[in-house]
Amino acid sequence: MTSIPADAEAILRRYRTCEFTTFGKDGAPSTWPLCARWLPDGRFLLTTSIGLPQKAFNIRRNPQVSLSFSEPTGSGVAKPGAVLVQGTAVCEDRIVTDMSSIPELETYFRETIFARQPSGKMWSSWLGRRWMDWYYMRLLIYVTPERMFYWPTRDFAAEPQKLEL
Amino acid sequence: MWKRAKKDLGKYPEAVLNTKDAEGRGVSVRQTQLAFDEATGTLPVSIPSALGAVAGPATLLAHFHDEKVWNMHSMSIKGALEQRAGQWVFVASSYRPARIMDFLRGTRVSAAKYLERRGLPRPKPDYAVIERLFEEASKISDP
Repeated sequence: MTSIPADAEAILRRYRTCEFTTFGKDGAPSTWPLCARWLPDGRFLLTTSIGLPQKAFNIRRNPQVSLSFSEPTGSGVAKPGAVLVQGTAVCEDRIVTDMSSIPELETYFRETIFARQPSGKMWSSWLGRRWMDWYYMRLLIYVTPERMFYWPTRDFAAEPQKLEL
Repeated sequence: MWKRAKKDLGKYPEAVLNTKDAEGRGVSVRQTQLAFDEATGTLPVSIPSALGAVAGPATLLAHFHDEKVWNMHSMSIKGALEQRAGQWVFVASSYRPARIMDFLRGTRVSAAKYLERRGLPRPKPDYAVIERLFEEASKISDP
């Protein structure tokens, strides 16, 4: 095992989305593209709206999740490989509507969402407020990583490096 | 039978195969060759052995966003991962094309149900905070 190389860190910090997998009642994976922020304490923060709560229900039943960072578009990463993060998640039944009420959530929205997705202003336009207010009714998902695999290049059929956490 | 899935998948250059290992950990591997057979609903997939994937339920997710994380679209096919002649194969079992009106209606209904089941009033997002954060975000040059 190797510690996390700088190129893998760049992927975790700069890729705009990850493929986030939870598991349903029947054990089948459900995967959505989602924005994730790697926090200073090593966990990942993601959020979901109560309009799309299935991830939360799945996590409360089975905390095992994975995040696959494999889509480099918009990231500016010079060596676009991939990182697979396997871990456990918690998702409290607390609906957050003030994005400044939790420091890491404020940073997540400012830096990981709004700065990267300027057209997201649509969600707080008149139309957004009238018809899609659920978008900003958020549940927080914290993922504690347990294992990571790193592909230094886009040859995903190659064996990945197992990273030491 | 899988004509529509084949057509929709054809809009994406790549897709991500999602399954699990023997301990139930999630395993995802991006697939760059999408030779999906519309007659059988099968797709040969590559999964490095280090990941320890096992046969069982699986999904195939294809998604797109532009450089500014906009113009987003995605599709997902449910199925299973099987070993056939020593090779991994994704075998589709169901596919429902995404429709924007279904999405908008479904999210409103899901949000209302979420609140109703907990006896909660509909909360009001703090849009003043959101506007402030957007303003601050606009000054970040290399997010």
